[in-house]
Amino acid sequence: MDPAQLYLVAIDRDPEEAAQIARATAKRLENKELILLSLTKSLGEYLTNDDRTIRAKAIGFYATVLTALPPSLLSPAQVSVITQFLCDRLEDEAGLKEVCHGLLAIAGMTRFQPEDAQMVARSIFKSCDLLKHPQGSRYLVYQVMDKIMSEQREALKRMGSDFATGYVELVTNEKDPRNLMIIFSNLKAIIVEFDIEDCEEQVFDACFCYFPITFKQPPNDPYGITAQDLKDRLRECLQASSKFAVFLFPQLLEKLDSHSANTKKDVLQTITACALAYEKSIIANYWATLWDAIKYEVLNASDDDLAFEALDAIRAIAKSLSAKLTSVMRTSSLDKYLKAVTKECLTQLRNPMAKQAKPSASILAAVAVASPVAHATTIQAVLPGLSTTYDGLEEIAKQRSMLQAILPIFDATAQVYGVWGDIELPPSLSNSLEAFKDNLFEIYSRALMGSAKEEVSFRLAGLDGLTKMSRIRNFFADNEIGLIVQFFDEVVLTDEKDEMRDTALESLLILSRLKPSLIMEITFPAFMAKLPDREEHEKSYDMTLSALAQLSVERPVFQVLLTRIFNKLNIVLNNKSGPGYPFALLSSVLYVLRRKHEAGKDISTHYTRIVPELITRTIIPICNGSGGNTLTHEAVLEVTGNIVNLILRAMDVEKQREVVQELFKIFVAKTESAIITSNKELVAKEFGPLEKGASLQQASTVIIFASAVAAIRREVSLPLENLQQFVDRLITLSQSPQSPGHRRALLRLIAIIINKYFTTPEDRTFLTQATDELWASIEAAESPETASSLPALFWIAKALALRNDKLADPIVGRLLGILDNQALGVTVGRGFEVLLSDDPFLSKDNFAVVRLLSQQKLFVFCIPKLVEGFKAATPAAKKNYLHALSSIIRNVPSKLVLAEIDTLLPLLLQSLDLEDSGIKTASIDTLSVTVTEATGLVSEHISSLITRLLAAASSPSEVNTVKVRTAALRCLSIFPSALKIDVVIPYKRQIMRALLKPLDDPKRSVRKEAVDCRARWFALGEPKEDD
Amino acid sequence: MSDIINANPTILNPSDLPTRHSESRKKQSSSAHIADTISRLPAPKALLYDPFASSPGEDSAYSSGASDRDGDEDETAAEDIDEQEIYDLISTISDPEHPLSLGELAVINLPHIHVTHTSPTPQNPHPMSHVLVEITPTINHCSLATVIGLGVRVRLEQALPPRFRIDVRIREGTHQSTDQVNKQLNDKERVAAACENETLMGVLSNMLATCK
Repeated sequence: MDPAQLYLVAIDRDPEEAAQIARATAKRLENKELILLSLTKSLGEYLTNDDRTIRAKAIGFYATVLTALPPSLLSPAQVSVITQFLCDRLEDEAGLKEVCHGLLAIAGMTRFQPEDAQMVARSIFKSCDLLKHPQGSRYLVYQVMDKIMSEQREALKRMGSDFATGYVELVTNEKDPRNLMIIFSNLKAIIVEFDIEDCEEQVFDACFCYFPITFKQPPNDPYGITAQDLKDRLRECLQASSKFAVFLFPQLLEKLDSHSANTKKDVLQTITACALAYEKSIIANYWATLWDAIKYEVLNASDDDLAFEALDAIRAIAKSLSAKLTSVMRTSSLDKYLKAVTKECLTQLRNPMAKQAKPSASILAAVAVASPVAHATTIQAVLPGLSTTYDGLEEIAKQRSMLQAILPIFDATAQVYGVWGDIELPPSLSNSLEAFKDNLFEIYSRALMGSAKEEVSFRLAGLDGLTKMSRIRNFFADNEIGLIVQFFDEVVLTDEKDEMRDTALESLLILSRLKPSLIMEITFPAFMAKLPDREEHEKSYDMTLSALAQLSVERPVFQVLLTRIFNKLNIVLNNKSGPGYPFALLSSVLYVLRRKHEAGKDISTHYTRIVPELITRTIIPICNGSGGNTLTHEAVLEVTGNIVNLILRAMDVEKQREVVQELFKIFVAKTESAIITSNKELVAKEFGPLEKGASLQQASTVIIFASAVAAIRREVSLPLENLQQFVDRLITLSQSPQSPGHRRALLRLIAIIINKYFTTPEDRTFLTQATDELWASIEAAESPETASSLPALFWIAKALALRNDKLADPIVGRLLGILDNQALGVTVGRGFEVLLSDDPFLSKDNFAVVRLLSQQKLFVFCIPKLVEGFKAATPAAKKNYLHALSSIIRNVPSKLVLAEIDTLLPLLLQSLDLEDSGIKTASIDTLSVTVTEATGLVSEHISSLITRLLAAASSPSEVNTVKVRTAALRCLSIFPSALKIDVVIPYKRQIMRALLKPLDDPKRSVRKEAVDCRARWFALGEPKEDD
Repeated sequence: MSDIINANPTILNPSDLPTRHSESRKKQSSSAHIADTISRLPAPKALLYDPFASSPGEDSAYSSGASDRDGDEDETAAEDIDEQEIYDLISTISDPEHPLSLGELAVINLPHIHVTHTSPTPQNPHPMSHVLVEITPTINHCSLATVIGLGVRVRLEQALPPRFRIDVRIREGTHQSTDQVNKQLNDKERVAAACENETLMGVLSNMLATCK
C-alpha cells in the first residue's frame, strides 16, 4: 500500500499513527528513497474523489509531509511547483485548512521565492471567499498571509495597491477577536510600509469599521484576548498614517456625541494617540475643530474620568504642535492654538466661582505641561489677565476661587521645570512664571497671613499656593522659602483651626524633604521654644510634639529631638509634673522610633542614647528616698517599656546577650549594672522590684522588665541558673500583686518565659505540677478574691496554646468546667478575654512561638464544651457561658465564628437579653457579620432577631448605651441589602414604624444611624429606576 | 437631561459649608490623630482593663492620672435636633441637574433653616416641633424648584420624628412663581400624588442616593 493510502486509513482511527506515517514518508523523501513527483502523483486519485473529506485528508497528508521536511531540502523549482500545486488546490473549498497547513510549511522553506509569495497572495485573494468558512479555517488563511508578509514583504510591496486592496477585501466582515488581532497587526504593516496612495480610504475604512470596539471578553475565555488588546491594536492602525487624518477626525468627532461613556473614552484616547503620532503639519490643520469639540467634554463634564481623557487630548495637541519649537513664536500653529485655548479659559475664569472656572483652570494646566514653549506661551497669555481679574475681585469667596484656579498652573510648572533635588536638567528655555514671582508671593502670602482667621478656605488656598511654588526648582530663593517656612510654623503653632494647622504641617513635611536644612534651622527651634516647662491646664504641647515627631524621622533631626526632649523631661519632672506631659514627651520618641522601624531603618543603634538613660532616670528616684516621680506612673512605664522593647527587638543575638545580662543584674540579681549611668551601687542596694514586699513604685517597674524580656530572641538564653524556680517565684508574686498593672506585667513575664524557653520534659513536668497546685488552691477558694491563682492559669494556658502545646488542653478544659461555679463563674467567663486576645508582647515580632491556626484550635476546642455547658447550666450560671462566649468571639476572626454559627446563633440571641452592654455590643457586631455571611440561617431567625435589635435600638438605658444602640441600628440596616427581598419585606412596616423612636433619640449620632437605617428600609421594594 | 436649565451655576467650596464644630476634632487628620495618641494618657479603664479585677476602675494608682478622655461619650446629656442637624440631612441631596449637592450650590443655606421647639407643659406634655426650610433656586425661573423642594420634603419626612411639622418654601424673591411652588410643596394631597408618580420618584431617589 502506498503511504497516502495508509495515512487515509489511519487518520480517523489514530491521528498519532497517521502523523507517524507522514513523518516516515518525509524521511524517505529526505533520503531520496522516494521522489517528490511520485508522491504528488500518488495523491491524484484521492484528489478527484467525490467525497470531500477524502480530498481534504489527502491534502492533509501532503501538508503533514511538507511540515516534516527539513526547510532546506527542496530546490527552488520544487518549491515553486509545490506552491503552484497548493495554490491550485485553494479552489477546492473542502481542503482549505489542510492547504493552508501546506502553504505555511512551504512558505517556511529556505528557497521560497518572491514570485512564490506573490502567487500565494494572488491565489488567496482570488479563490478564497472566507465568509463560507468557519473561524478556525479563516484563522489559518490569515496565518498564511502573516507568514508570507514576514518572509517576503518586499515582493508583496511590489504588487502595489493590488495587495492592499486584495487584503482589505479578504478580511471584510471578519468579527472573530483572535483573527482581528492578526489582521490589525498586518494592516498596520501595510499602512506603514506599503504604498497605499490609491486606496487610502479603503484601507482606512477596513480599520475604522471596527471602531469603537464593543467586544466583551466572555468568562473563562481560553484565548485571553481582552477588549483593551483589540483597542490598542486598532489604535495602532489608525495612528499609523498621518494621511488618515482627513477621514479619521471628522468621524471621530461625530462619535464623540455618543451617549456611551465607553465610546467617548475610546474616541478621546484615539485622538490623543493620533495627535501624538501624526505629523505636526496635519495637526495644525485640525486643532481648531478638535479643540471646539473636546473642550465641551471638560467644561461640561459629568464624569471625571472622561474629563481626564479630554484633558489628555488637549495636552497631546499642544505637544504635537510644540515639535521642533525652541522658543515662543508668534506665528506658529502652537501659538494660534494656545491663543484660542487661553482666550476661552480666561473668559471663563473672569467669574471664578462659576462651575466652568475650575475645568478651565485644568485646561490651562494641561496645555502648560505639554512643552517648555507651550508653558511659556500659556503663562505669558494668562497670568497678566488673571492678575488683573484678581485685583478687581472684591468678594473673598471669588478671590479664593481664583487663587485655587491658579494652583494647577504651579503643579504644571513643577512638572516642566522640576522640583528641588531633581537630577534631570531643566529645560533651556527660562521659566516664564519667574516674571510673576513677586506678585504671586505677595498675593498668596497675603491670603494666608493677612486675612481674617475665619476665612479658612481662602487661607488654605494661600497655603497651598505657597507650598506648590516652594517646590518648583530654582523658583524661590532660600530666604523666600525660609520666610514661607516661618509662616507655616506660625500657623502650626498658633492657628485655631485644625484644618489650617494640619495642612501647614503637611506642607512643612513636604518642604522637609526638599529643603531639610531650612526645617532644622527655622522650624525646630521655633517648635522647641513653644514647649512649656510644666504641665499646663490646656494641653498646649500636644500639637507641637506631634509636629516635631513627624518632622524628626530623619536621623540627624532625631538626634536633636532626643537631646531636647530629655532636657525638657528633666525640667518638667523637676517642676513636679503630673504624668500627662512626661507621657507625651516619651510617646513622641516612641512614635518616631516606630516610624523609623516601619521604614526599615535599624533602630538598635539608638540603644546607647535612649535605653540606659530612661531606665536610670526611672529607677534612681525610687531608690534614693526622694519619693520618686511620675516616670513610675504605670502609663509612663508602659511607654518606656515599649521604647525599650522596640529597640531591643532590633538587636542581633550578640548584643541582646550583653543587654539581657545587664538587665537581670538590675531587676533580679541586685548587682551593679552597666545600664545604670549613675549611682550604680545605690541601685544594686536599694532596688528589688521582684522581692516580696517591694513598694508599689518599685514593683511597677516590672512593666519595663517584662517588655524588655519580651524582645529577647529564643536563641539568647536568660542568665539564670534555674528558670523553673524563677517562674515559681513570679507565680507566687502574681498572687498578691501591688496593682492590676503589676500583676499583668508579672503574668506576661511568666507567659513569655514559658512560651519561649520551657521545652524539655523536665519543664513539662514542672508545668503540670505547678498548674495542679494552682488548681488545688482554686478548688478550695470561695470567692474571686481568694482564687488568686486564676489569672496565672489563664496566662499559662495562653502561653502554651499559642505554640499548640497539648498541655494547654487540660487547663482550658478545667477552666471551662468551673463556668457554672457560683462564686467564680463570672470571673472565669471574663478571663477568656485573656486567653484568645492578641497580646502585643507575646507575638511573632517578639520572637514568641506562635503556631499557625493556634487560635483556631483553641476556638474549636472551646466552643462545643461551651455550648454543651450552656445547655446544662442553671439559669443563673448561663450568663457566665455567654460572658465567655462573648470574650471569645470578640477576639477571633469572624470567619471562625461563622463556621460554628449554627450552634452559636441561639446563644448569641440569648446574650442580647443580658444586662451587659459589652456583651451586647460584641454579639451585635458578630450578628452583623452573620447577616451578610450566613443569610439562610439568619432568615430562619429573622423575627426574633429583629425584635431584639429594635428593642436594643429604641430604649436608651445604662445597658443600651450609645454604642449598643448604634451597633443595633447598623446591624438592622444591613438586612435590606443582604437578605432576599421576600424574607425582609414583611418586616418593612414594622421597622419603619419602630424606627420612628430612634429618630428622636437623645443622641445625635444615634439619630444619624437611625436616619440611614430607615432610608435603607424605605428604599426596599421601591421600583428601581432603569437608566 | 438634554436641556440644562442653568449650565454654569455658582458653586461653594465644600470646606466653606457649615459643619458642626465639635465634629471637626473627631474627623481627625493624621497629625491631630498623632497628637492625640502621643499626648493622651490612656484612660484608666483601658490601661487597667483587667478581667480579674473584682471591681474595675477603683484603683489608687490612677486617681492621680488626671487627663481628659473621650471615647466614652457622656451617655445622658440630650442633644436637641437643631438647624445644623437639619442642614446635614438635606444639604447632601444632589441637584437633579449637576453632580453637585444642594449645599454646594447654595440652594440650601444654614441661615435659612429654622427649628422651633416648644417646651412641654402639663396640658401638652408632647408639644409639636416645627422646622422651616427655605430653598434658594440657582436661577429665578428654575423649573426644577418644585422637584428640589419635594426632595427636601421627602427626606425630612423620612428622617425626622413624627412630632415635627415640616414646612418647605421657596425663599421670598428668589423665584418668579414662588407662591405657586409653595402651594404645591405644602399641599399634602399634591405631595402624596407626586409620590405616586414613578418617574418622579425615580428622580427623587437618585437625588436622595447621595445623602450620607
